[in-house]
Amino acid sequence: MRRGIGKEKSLSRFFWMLGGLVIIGMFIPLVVVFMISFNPGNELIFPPQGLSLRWYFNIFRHPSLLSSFQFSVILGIIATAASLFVGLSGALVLTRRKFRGAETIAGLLMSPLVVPQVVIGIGFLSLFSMMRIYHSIPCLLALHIVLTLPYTLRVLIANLSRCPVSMEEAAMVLGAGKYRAFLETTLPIIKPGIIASAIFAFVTSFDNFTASQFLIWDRATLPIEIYAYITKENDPTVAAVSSLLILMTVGLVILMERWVGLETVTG
Amino acid sequence: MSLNLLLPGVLCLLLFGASLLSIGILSLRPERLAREGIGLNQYLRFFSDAHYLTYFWRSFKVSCYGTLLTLFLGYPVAYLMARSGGRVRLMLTLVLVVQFFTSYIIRAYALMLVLGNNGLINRMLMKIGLIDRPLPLMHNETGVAIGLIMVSLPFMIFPIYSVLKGIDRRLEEAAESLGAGEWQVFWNVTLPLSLPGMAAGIILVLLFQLTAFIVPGLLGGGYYDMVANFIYDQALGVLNIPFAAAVAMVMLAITLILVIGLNKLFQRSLKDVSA
Amino acid sequence: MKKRDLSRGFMFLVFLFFCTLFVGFPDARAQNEVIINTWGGAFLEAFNAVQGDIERVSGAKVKITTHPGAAAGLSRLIAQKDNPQVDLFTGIESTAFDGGKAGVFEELSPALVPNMVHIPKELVMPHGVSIWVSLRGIFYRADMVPFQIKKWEDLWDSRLKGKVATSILLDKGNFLIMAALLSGGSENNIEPGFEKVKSLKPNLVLFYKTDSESIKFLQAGEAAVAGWGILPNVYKLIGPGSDYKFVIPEKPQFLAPIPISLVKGRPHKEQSLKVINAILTKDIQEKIASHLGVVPSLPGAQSPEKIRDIVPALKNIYKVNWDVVNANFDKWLERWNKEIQVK
Repeated sequence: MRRGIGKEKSLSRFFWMLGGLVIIGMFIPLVVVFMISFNPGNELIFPPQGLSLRWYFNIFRHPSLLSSFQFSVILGIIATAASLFVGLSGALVLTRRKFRGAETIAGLLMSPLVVPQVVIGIGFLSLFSMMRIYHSIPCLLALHIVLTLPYTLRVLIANLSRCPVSMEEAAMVLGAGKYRAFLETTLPIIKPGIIASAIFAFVTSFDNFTASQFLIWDRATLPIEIYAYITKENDPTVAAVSSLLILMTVGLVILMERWVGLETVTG
Repeated sequence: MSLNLLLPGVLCLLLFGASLLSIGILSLRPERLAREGIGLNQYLRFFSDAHYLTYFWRSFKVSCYGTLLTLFLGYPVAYLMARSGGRVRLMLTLVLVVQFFTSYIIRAYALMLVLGNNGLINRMLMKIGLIDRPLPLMHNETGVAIGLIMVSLPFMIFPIYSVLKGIDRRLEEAAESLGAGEWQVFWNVTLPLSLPGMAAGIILVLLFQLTAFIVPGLLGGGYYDMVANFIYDQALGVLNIPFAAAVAMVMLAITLILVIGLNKLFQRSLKDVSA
Repeated sequence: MKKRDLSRGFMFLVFLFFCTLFVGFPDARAQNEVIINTWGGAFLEAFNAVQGDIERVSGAKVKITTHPGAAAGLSRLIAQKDNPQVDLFTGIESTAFDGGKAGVFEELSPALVPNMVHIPKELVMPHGVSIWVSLRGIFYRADMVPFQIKKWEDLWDSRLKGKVATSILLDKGNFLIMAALLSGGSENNIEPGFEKVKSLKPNLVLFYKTDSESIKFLQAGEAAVAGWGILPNVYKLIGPGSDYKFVIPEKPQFLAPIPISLVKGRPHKEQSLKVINAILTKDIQEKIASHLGVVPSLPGAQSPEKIRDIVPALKNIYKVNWDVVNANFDKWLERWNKEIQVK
């Protein structure tokens, strides 16, 4: 690290070593998936026996994989936005207003994480069947908002609790309105939290399979299509799909860095 | 702060509560395929056989030490991310975010290809000659634990990172100027200030591991089924949804108490820290 | 506008948004379509390929929707019992029986579906008729197994120590029934089955829950033999020059027929019956079979070329009593988990 030249560096060394090992560990499965996608043969094996792009082309012969990707992205964005809104408002109240039962409510709002996915799926299915709602979009949206809320809430609570109200109050004393005070004092500090929550929420929605499978009527999400695919086929096409997703994500993050600078995004 | 802001959250809670209520009602059905009837026999069945507790014991055991290990392994990464320059942070963020976008099922398969008897690690170790028989890293508790930790690391790293990022460095610099060494500064200043992030990470990871189902199924090879696997098999294998619902309600009760307890614990320590 | 009104207004909008989630959308589907509910992926594609033919032969308009699995699909049907959303459901044998018991399927007979009269009785159930057959057998890797596997008993060969994978969940315990049959028992007397499988434990290395998993395990080399394999999922991997082999033991033979069932309480019963009838014609049977690598249920319809050499004469088909299985599977599963699926 930059400071403390001459002082003990054992902490940094320790963190670098351990952290480095962990990162390498997380890297390996990604590399494996990536390499499998190039296997010219029909199998999901590693290491690949050659280099071939045929499985990437194969994706385009299965339009359901593409359309479900599109659906998953749009669903994820809407669910994330809604979840951030609900989570932020909830976190604001729970950290700023001390009232009896605050901890209980915070605990209860985490309950979607406590219940196994298959149970949530069946629960929502019963509920929506009773309400006669048989369309993917409202069912999945409601499900995904409920599933992502614990993440946004928890992370935002953690961030807000580090952010004393006094700063906002100070701004208001100096003449700023309630919203302006919030936007200009608190928001910048919790920005990393908002980004982290948004990422969690989006990914939870995008990746969700077990609960969502019960609520698919007319349109399916990508994980469900992937699962349907591998139910019968055993070729590396799904590895190709994953690799494309990896590349896309890398591209997105790098683009964000170029345009707005990662600093503004991650704080 | 207006209590009105809690309204959307409460609505979500109500929606979720309604779905849980349907599960509760389902758990009262006496017969496997029944749609009517009220009875407690599903619960009686559950409490009358100690075998079912095996799954609970496994889930709680692995989640406990799994979460602690995830904390121990994830904190350094979060720290590195928070304290590094732009390039390094970008790289680390990339690795983490990309984890998420690789379909969960695929990641589990990839882990299998790495940890299995015929997997990357064993093949490499045998080639160098370090071992002559494959290490049993899969189809047992070890494989499940490793898999769970790998998959839940991002959930621990991000909350801690987001809090670490926001810590006022001047507090650390002040401590240093007073003569504290690197470790002392970390232990007495940085770590306590990052507690909210740790709390968030611990709860998220603990719950994730408790209800995990794909990793224990694939990496446990059937030998280490956890609660979610059991519930899934009962619901979709045996098609005994009432029993699955009853087990789920018991699990929900235990875990809710755990979460509320943990929340209270963290709340208290948070109050101490900010005082 | 005052800030207070703004926040109130905002809250109200949020409330409205949540209310819209509760609004039931009118069923946008055309009311005169026959809706077939089946698996996604390759199965959806197979049905899409014959959709035009089905419509032509039956005279009805057809729409195909998917479910993520027979059990999940049946749970959905049971949940919607008073307002079902699909007309025809393709599942597995056990769900056809469970669905009948749960009262979501109509009874079928040749009086309602004339072509049913051609279908062998092993492939006909009270609440469903098979539209294809997915043969069960042993799937293994010749490069990891020192001999040619030919019969079920070969699984117990000591040369297969630590190499065999199997499943209790697939076909609701048919593997256990097979073991019972080898020792003189059956689904009515399952005890010999448990004894036989216990003696298999030294050979067992892992357990899988879906067919897809079994193939992945073999591809990864974690197991050499899938003791309960399914032909349509592997027919692309086997063949001349391939190390992957699939064998259908002579006796007993397990068929895994895939039935189609008629859902109770839907408006156009006659048209749905015509659709079932259409699916049971030679041309459509052959097309579906060639898409999926399965055996048609209609005798006289040809199996796809790729699997013709492997499929033996189907003379020793064992007809499982599903009512017995469905009633007892619960207990078998528990006993299996306690005694067999432990190290």
